[in-house]
Amino acid sequence: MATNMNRRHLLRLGAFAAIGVTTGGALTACGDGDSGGDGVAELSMWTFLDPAGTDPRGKALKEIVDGFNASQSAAKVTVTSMNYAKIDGEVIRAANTGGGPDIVNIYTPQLAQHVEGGSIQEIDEYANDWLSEAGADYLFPIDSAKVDGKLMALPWESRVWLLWYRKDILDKYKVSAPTTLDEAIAAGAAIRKASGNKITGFAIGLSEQSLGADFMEKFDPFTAGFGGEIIGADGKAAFASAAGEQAMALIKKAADAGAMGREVLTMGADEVVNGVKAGTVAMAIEGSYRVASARSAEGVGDNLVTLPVPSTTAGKNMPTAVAGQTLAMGANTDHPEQVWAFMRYYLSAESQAKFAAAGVLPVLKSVYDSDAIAKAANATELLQWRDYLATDGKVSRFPADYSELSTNLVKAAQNMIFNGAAVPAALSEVQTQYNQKGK
Amino acid sequence: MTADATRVKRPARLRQAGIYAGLVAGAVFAVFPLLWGLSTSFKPEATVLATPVRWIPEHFTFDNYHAVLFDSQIPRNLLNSVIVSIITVAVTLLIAVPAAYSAARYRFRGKGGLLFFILMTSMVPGIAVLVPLYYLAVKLSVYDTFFVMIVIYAAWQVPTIIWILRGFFESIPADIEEAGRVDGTTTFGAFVRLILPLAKPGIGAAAIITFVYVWNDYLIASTFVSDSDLRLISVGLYTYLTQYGTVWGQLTAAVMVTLLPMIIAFVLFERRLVAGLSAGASKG
Amino acid sequence: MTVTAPPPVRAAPPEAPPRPRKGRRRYGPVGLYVPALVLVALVSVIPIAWAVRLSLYRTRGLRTVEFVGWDNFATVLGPDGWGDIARTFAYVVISLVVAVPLGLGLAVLLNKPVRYIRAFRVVILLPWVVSQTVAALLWKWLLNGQYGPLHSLFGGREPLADPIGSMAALILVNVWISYPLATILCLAALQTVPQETVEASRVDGCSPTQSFYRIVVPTIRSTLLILVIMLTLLYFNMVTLVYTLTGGGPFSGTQVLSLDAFLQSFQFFKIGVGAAYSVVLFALNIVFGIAYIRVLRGSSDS
Repeated sequence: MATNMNRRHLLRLGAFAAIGVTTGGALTACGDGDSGGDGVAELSMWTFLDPAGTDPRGKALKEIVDGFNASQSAAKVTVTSMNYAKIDGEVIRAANTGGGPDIVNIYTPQLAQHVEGGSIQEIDEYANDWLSEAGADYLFPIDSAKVDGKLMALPWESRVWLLWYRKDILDKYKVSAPTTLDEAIAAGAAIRKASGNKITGFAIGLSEQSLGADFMEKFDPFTAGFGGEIIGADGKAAFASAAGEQAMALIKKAADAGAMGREVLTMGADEVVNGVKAGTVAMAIEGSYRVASARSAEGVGDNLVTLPVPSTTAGKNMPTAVAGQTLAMGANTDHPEQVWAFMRYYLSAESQAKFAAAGVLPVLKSVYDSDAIAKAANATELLQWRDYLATDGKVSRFPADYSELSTNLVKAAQNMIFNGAAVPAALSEVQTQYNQKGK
Repeated sequence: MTADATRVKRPARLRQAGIYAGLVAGAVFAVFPLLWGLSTSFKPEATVLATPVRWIPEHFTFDNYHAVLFDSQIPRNLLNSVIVSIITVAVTLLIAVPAAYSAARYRFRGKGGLLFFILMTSMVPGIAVLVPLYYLAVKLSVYDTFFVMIVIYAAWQVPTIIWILRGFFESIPADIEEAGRVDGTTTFGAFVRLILPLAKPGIGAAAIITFVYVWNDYLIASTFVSDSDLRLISVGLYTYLTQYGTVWGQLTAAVMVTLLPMIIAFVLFERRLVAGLSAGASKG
Repeated sequence: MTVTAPPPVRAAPPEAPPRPRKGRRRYGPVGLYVPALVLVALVSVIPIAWAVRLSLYRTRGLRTVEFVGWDNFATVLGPDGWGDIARTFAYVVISLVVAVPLGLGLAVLLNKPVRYIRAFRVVILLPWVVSQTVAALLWKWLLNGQYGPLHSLFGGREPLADPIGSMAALILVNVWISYPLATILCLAALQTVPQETVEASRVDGCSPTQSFYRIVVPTIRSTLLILVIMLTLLYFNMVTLVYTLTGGGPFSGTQVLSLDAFLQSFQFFKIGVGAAYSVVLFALNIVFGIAYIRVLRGSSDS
């Protein structure tokens, strides 16, 4: 439709374009994988990592891309770095006008949105052989990268969510490390009280910012832990169930018991981690990928301990949400073969080891036995994370309208937790609204 | 009258004190958050969130500035922003000044409606027209150029600038042009030699408003350019808002660096303002 | 009133002689608008039409799926919608009531011939050039009750943790980034106020306050008009600041229309609903614009 409109106005706009050529300087097509004259496929890659900055992951990316470009002569990859919160919109917009990158980095929860937006294409025909060859060595629950049964991307990074606690703070308030979530809440309440409400004992961020992600990263696995799910197999919301109510009641208990106060209404994951760094958050459930950054703060270091998230019964773990960064193939690429070649290179044991050395949790089991991991200061911890992923990692469904759902859910959660809204009623309201809207 | 004269002296000093009190209060409100940013920019990243809070860094470091100036795209982004801002200001003024002058000096049927129509075009929320503009830019192959940004910025600024300048032109007495015409100058000549100098404060304000608008914009800058060599500073700053959290030290250092060109721009503007003042004084 | 421009017709005899002749000259004044019109037609008018059309469709990704008439507006003006509209009004009006007098007051002070005035002029304008994102992040940090630099002032409370405090903080930061626009425009407008007229009014027995309201304010009235319009547009359409500072919360306490439009269009990818929010915002902008012009400009404009 837009195309028609543009064609109609094209003539009138001709002059405008002509001025563009003279004043505007370089007119570059956007990421249209044009072949160079020498038969080298120019591939553009859009990712949230910055190869030019000081971040070790960005440097690892640069090494890998340089390595790929040097390893063969059929393709050359150039990286464009974009802000992680903006990249999805940019890719979808670009793809809808016939452009966009050949290779795009996508975070698993956003995959369905890209499929809906028509920005990526399925990679079954390329990846299936590789995956069956990798077999059990490929740790990541690959179903998370499937939309409507089709493989849309290849995860290259794993994330699990862990119970974080500041050992120094627990020691200071003479509280022992929790073995169940109830203990964690009790310990958190004791700390918050003893500190004169200055320290949040157990923080679950309830801010609407980042679409309520910090809340969903707990509500989802808790619900699973009680035997339910957020989105059922039929694509309908199913959290207004006994399991969903138990999960919400557990989070509410943390507030009612005094382990967290209204300050969590201003917190997203960023603020929770800031609190851990500053020593104003004693315990939280946060992602493995943020541990290194938190430990780098002065006075944190080894005082930050991680554990698989305990459940409400001792000796049993909560399931963990599993998410990760993936590589997907742009919808408009002219060189799918070369894109796949790059993906394979990116997922090779060598590349994975490079990322592992930069603090990324790999997706290949064998890489955990490599030097890169063995040399890491927290080698045992990394193996513990891997095992938690392998045994308790759960696949979540992230439909295309997940952002809207999670925003509505966190708003409802605020009301349930701090305004006394009835849990079953509030959950069913959001669920009904979602199930009606989608259809 | 005599009582008045004695009364004036004391209040004068009191008023002076009042003026300073107001200015200092304004200045404190203005820079307070920036001072915290300045303080953070000199802290090692590991200590930015440390409690107890320190306004004077315990370990003073230039590492953040070094990273921003030598290990990042920020200097490049700054240069791009300066280029795009200056061209946008020139284009905007070139288009808005004639229209504003016409609006201030000539009457014709439907003028009010026309002026309101022009103003109305700047009333649409930017986010509403972003997607259609994006399609247009791609179809016309001007995506990923400074040109497309300049055209959009100018189009969004021209309406309000016309309205601003119209007020300033109206405040210049019309007999000035008449006097010029008696001397045999053309309308255009009178405009350039007599009116423009008097309108300097207004044109200066219009220029700085446009400049700052471009400088601050994120929406256009992030949508119409994906080539990192063409990025503007507002987009460049987002480099420090990462998935792993905000890199406070480098972010605040980059913000401090970006304030520098703006301070220069303000000093330049401030000179124009004074020039306008003296010109205004001579017109009496 | 004494100083504002005399009716423009008399101003330019050659172009507007008593008995207008037909021909080129009559089009001259209109001709001066042509570049501006071409530009806004290209960049604003066509996309606006597109957005209005989009607001009547159900969309999927970035494609329109089916014509749904007013359905999208039913969401915007539905039960939650009126709360958002009320909050938007509160946010815009309170911000204006604070920012305009503050900006004008500072401009008056910055127009005084006192020492260090040039330094003050630069310093007081600085918040203007801090991007909305950075302003939101810095203020959010300052207002943090646990690890923020001012946390001891808040006594364990979180200013951003209740809806009223959150809205107050939003307005505070909003004023912080926008009052310099008011200051700079007023400062420039004050240069056009003839000193002689002000002095004459003082001789006639006006107090400084009286002469300010009787001479200065009428002279800069048209600047105040466009200033209020500009700030209103800025506030109605403010996205980044709200998104970064509060995200609309808590308890939807800072959920304003512009944020809705942004979330729908760019986070939920429902660009039809997003366009409907934008169209409502557009309509509000126009209504406010017309109202201001009626009130502030009076009948001099026709």
